[in-house]
Amino acid sequence: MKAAKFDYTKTNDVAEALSVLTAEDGDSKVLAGSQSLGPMMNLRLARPDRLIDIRALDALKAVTQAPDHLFVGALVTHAAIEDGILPDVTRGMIQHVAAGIAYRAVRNRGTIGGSLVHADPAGDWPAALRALGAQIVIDGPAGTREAAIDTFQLGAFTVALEEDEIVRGVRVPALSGSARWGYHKICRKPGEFAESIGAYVCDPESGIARLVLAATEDAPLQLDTAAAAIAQNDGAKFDLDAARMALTETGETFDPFKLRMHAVALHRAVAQAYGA
Amino acid sequence: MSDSGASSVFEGPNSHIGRSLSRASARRTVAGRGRYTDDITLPRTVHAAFVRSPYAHARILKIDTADAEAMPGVVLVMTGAELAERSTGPWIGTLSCFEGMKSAPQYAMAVDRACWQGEPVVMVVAERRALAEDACEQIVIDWEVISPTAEAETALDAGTPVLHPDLGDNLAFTKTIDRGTVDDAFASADIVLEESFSFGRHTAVSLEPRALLADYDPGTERLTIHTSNQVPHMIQAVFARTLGVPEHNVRVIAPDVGGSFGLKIHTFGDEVAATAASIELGRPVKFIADRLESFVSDIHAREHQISARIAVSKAGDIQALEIDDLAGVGAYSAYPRTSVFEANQVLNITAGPYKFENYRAKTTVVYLNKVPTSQYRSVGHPIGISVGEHMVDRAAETLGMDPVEFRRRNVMPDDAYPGVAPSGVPVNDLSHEACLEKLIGLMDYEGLLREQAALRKQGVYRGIGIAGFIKGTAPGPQGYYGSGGAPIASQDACTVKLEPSGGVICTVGVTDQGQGVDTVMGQIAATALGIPLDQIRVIEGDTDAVPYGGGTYASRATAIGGEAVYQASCDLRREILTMAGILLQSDAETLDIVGGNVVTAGSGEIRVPLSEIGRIGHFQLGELPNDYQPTLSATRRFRLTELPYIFTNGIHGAYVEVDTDTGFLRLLKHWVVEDCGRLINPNLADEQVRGGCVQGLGGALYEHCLYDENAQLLNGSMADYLTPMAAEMPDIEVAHVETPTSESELGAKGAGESGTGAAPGVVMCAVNNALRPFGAAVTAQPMTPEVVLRTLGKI
Ligand SMILES: Cc1cc2nc3c(=O)[nH]c(=O)nc-3n(C[C@H](O)[C@H](O)[C@H](O)COP(=O)(O)OP(=O)(O)OC[C@H]3O[C@@H](n4cnc5c(N)ncnc54)[C@H](O)[C@@H]3O)c2cc1C
Repeated sequence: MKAAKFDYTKTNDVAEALSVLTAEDGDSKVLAGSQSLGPMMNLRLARPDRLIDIRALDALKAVTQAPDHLFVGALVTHAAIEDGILPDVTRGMIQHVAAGIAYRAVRNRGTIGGSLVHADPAGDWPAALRALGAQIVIDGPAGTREAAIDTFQLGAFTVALEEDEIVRGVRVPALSGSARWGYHKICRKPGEFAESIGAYVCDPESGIARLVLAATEDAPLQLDTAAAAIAQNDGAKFDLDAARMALTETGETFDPFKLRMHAVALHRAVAQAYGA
Repeated sequence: MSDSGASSVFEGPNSHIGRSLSRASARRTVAGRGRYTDDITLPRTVHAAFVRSPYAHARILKIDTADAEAMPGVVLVMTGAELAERSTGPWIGTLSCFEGMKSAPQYAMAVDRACWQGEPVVMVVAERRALAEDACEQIVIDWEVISPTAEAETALDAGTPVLHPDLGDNLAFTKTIDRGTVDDAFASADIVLEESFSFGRHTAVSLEPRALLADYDPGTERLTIHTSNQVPHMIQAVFARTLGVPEHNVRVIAPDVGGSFGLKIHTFGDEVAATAASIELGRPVKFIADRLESFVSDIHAREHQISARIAVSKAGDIQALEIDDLAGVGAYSAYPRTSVFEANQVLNITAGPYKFENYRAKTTVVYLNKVPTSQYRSVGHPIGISVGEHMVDRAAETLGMDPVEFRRRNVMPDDAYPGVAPSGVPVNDLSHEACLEKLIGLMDYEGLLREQAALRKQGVYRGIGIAGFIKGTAPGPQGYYGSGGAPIASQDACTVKLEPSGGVICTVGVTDQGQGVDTVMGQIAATALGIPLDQIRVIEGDTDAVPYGGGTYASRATAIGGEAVYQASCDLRREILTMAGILLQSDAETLDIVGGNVVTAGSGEIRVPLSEIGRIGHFQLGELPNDYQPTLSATRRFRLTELPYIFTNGIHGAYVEVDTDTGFLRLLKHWVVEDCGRLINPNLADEQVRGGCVQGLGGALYEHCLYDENAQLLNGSMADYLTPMAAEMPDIEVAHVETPTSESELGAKGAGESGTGAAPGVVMCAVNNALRPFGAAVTAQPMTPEVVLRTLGKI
């Protein structure tokens, strides 16, 4: 299938991009790596009247390190992160996550910002950055604002982003030397939708412990009680049954197959964090 | 060379046989210089797109095309009814060799009723494909939905809707093979084991989808069809007859073909419609199936459910096997090859390697409101081999016998030929024993057993699988397409010509779809003629240029087409030597051709180059006696005479690991020992085997056309339908045993499909070997994590 007719604009100016977004005639969409929007348009599932290509916006390519975090511009590709071009503030976690996204061809083009806004329930960045407790930096007509990732993704394919806003980048908290992480994705083949994603981050220094489950039908799920208990026990008692129990305690219902996938993903993410 | 010394030719100084040359097209296609149908642009080309039925079964009440016709760039809108008026009539996908088979008349596009989701209903032709799709969206169809028949198990039940009331019921075909005394054997058997299996429907997913560019020239009244296809002459016959153009005025060209796998040997209504549009418009019309429409219009295959039982003696001999197959085909039997061949092959080949006489196999083939099914690489074999090998493993396990030992005991011995397989199909020149022994060495079977045992203690579950097979290749005219009434040649032909330059043009009826058929044909011609390979040009895939042939399917190109090349080349060689003898005033018997020169036989002294023969033979005929008129060309045909197939054999080994928490399978290693007779090009044969294995592993693990109860395809896109790719595939080690077929001088058998045939079965055997400590066995394919976990009782 071919995409339905659309107009195309490219700009190197954030203000201009924002003004095109707010244009009255028809709906506009931002185009980044095109790895999600492109297929949707070619299936005629997305039919924007206008595409605004943001790939020339230098402000969205910046990578800057601060003492407590790393700012990663929205246009930074999965491949750039995989290749370790960015300073490592997560003890290798985001590099590991990036390397597990799709195939290299997709990683060469797909961007971290696009992934967050696309908000696929099985997406890797929404899960991993949730476990890390990242902050989203957003540009809009009124200026720049920040949003915690916990409140950014509202559900499957929906985020708290106004039509006239674009994501500038994401602040990834720096982990301390004693932090641990685990990330386990279950998918039948590389590049397929994950059956489940378990992500766990624990940093004794900042007192953070987060356990995240993704590849449900909704936004990633945060299992805070379980995370606290795991951190307390250094992961010791979090076996498959405990994982299943933690899932049941969320109040969500899963079919038996999904429940098992999720339990294994959580269990293995935690096991990885504690070197088991 | 003399006629009696055929084998010496293959080992002689000219021989290109047994050399691993790379494919002639490899460099070109890798460099992006391939020329596929969609790369061909003709002036004034317009593009076809189709409105397809969204329902599995629905009556067409009204079609409103007015808005679509007014859309920008639209040059033609044609409904199924309008197309029917422009064609000679519907097809009926039956063959007389399938006794009692029935199928309903089928039009290229639905006329008053759509019978599967995806059936073409209206065609729009526009300046560009995107414009044609825009216009398709404007077509309004009033549908009356009819309840569909979605499940094979209930298709014959009273109360199930009958797809085609004129047929009386949903039964397409039924057949039983009954040999020996099956009932007695079961009644007196020491051990009887039963099992039931299910195999998921899947489809070919060729990298290049179906593609066609039809160009009707009203001036010459000639129709040229460029199409991604394996069988140009069949397309010529079917399209000519359907559209009322004289067959000799239809030229079919198959340029580079990006994968076909049996998909591209069938008649597809959308392609016929696009061709009709070219005739209607008097301008070229292009139709390139996109991936979404491919899923609902390319043939599907392999939807079978089988129950099986085996009888074995305590000593470990197979006494009887019985299978009962239920196959769910589509809404119509595919034209002209039918949708029942697959089931027929399951009956023919199940437990084919083994020596026992009591065999009963029944199939029941039913129509469903789904995409029509038909021949797909290794037709029926993955099903029959999986069933046969699983039953053999169960028997061995029950007896406490090693699966290798059990097979050693039961395979047909290598000196038992000619013989018949349990189904009664004639087999000859097979090598089960040699292949089994070679495989055991290749895979280090004992070492694997030790590793498996050690790892099991650590909670790692690995399994070793072995699966032998017979594979029907290179069919002959007996009981096959042509004799069944289809316009499909079972012979194939070659014309070789010596050009004035001394170069040779070799035209063949078989086609290349990337396997390297042209390379192999060149190797055969070069060997028989005694000329360097780069002096030969092989031409295939153009009905205006090549002798009439069947094309490439059923692993026939080298076995059938290759023998025609060999015979024609031997004829041409004889003529060249005769002419050289006259020119040199020597006895032709004392001459030979080596390295492109006529030489003195034995000593190799160069007497005259072929360029000189070519020059004189074409330009200076006055130098020859008046009563001698060389043609410097030869045409030969080849077909099997007595046998229905050249059966081949081989055996696979697999090593897998099962994650018993997730049900995920990891393919660690795969081995194949294959006997495809004389190996013309070992490297290309290996690649065929490997590619074939990957395709088989796709069906075993991933590929599945999932339908809901309304016969709606749920996963018809590459986002949802999983195909095997390099990352998850194991290393595949290939070795050969060479037992030339006695059917031809060349001795080559088919090699292109056997990987696909046995790979699913061997992996199933390996998985079940791994699961043995749990007392569980997987008998459903694809073996998804869910299937494995359910088998383990974990969900
Ligand atoms: C074959 C394949 C396999 C894949 N596998 C995986 C996988 O395993 N894991 C995974 O996580 N992802 C996977 N993806 C998705 C991939 O990661 C995409 O790159 C990502 O989801 C979107 O990023 P993009 O830059 O391509 O965004 P685009 O496709 O260009 O845009 C996606 C959406 O985000 C919006 N958008 C993009 N950038 C911004 C911005 N800065 N501000 C506001 N809105 C913006 C667009 O308007 C659009 O709605 C896969 C994709 C493909 C094609």
